This record gives sequence, structure tokens and C-alpha cells, in this order.
Amino acid sequence: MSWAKLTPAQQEILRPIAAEWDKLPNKLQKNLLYAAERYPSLTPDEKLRFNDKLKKWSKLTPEQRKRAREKFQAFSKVPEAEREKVKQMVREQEARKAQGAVSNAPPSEATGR
Amino acid sequence: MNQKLQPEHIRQALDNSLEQIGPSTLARLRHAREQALARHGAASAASGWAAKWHFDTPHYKFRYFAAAAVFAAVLFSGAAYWQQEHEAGEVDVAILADELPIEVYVD
Repeated sequence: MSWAKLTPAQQEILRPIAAEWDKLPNKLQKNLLYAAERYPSLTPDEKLRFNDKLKKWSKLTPEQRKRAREKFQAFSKVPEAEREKVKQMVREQEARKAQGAVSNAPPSEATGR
Repeated sequence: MNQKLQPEHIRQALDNSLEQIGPSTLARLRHAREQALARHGAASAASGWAAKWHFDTPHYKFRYFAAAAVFAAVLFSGAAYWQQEHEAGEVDVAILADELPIEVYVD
């Protein structure tokens, strides 16, 4: 389905990948259109994450997306406590990355002067 | 008289006795014969249809159930395909909205 045939609401949600949309495989387009339908029911944080990840997700190969879905579904079956541990590790890693980015920045940016 | 009667003798005897029957009796016999033939014709028609139904029913029922089974199979496979597509979409939404970055799930 071409970009021009999407509704304004769909185009608004899928805007991060507007340039690539027409080149995406049909199956991915269908999945993303379904995701766009569910978008309004997401929390604000979820919507932010959705927008951030959309472009990256569309750039993966079909095989990578397939593996990612399998891993996600397997991870969903892990007990909540274990999943929370993994999420905490990832949060700490992200925080360290952000810290590193700040400390590597030029002095004027790091101190805000 | 102990000789065995042959069919042609019986026929001859019947024909001979027929000549001795009066016209009114013949008329009554003819009428009765016609009535009997008419009843036999209706019964034959009814039994013909009944026979047709009797012989066709197993095939009819088989064709009906076979068609119903094919229809159910098509319906079921369509529903299964839709369910699969629906689930794939749900997983994509969950990954995109998830707290963890995509890299965690990508090799």
C-alpha cells in the first residue's frame, strides 16, 4: 500500500518512516498499520519509545525482525523478577552511556557554560 | 389322472372357461383389473421415488458432509491465518513500545 493511500491519522503515526514506507515489504507494512491502530491506546512513554524505534525497526532485515520477535516472545515467558533485572541492567547501561556522552563532550557543553 | 399339467394346458383351460363367462361378469372383471392396474401404477411411482431416495441418500449425505468439511477447513485455515497475522502485529507493537531497546532482541 503506497504512502499516499494511508489515512492522515496513519501517516501522522508512521511519519518517522514516511520516506521508506513505499519500499517496505508488504508484510511489514501490514504489521505497522496494525501497530498504528494500536498506537492511540499506548501510554505517553510507550508512544515516545514507539516513535524512537520505528525507523530502526523498519531498517532491519526480515530475518532480523523475525529473530527479534522470537526473542521477544521467549523473553516474555521469563519470570517477571528476571525480566526486571534485565531491564534494570539495561537502564544502568543507558545511564552510563549518557554519562559518558556528557563527560566526553567539550567543556562548555558539559558544564553548560 | 396323474399327468403333470403343462403351461399350455393351463392356458387353454383358462381360455375355455373365459368363453363361458357372461358379459356383465367380464365387465366387472375388466373394471377390477383397471382399478388394480391404476393402484399398481401409483404404488410403482411412489416406490420409484422412494427407491431413488433410498439409493441416493447415502451419496447425498456424503456429498453434504464432504462439502461441509471442506467449508469448515477453509474457514478454519482462514481464521488461523488471520490469527497469525494478528499475533505478528501485536508482537511488533509490543517490541516498539517496550522499554528495552531493539538491539537487545537483534543478534
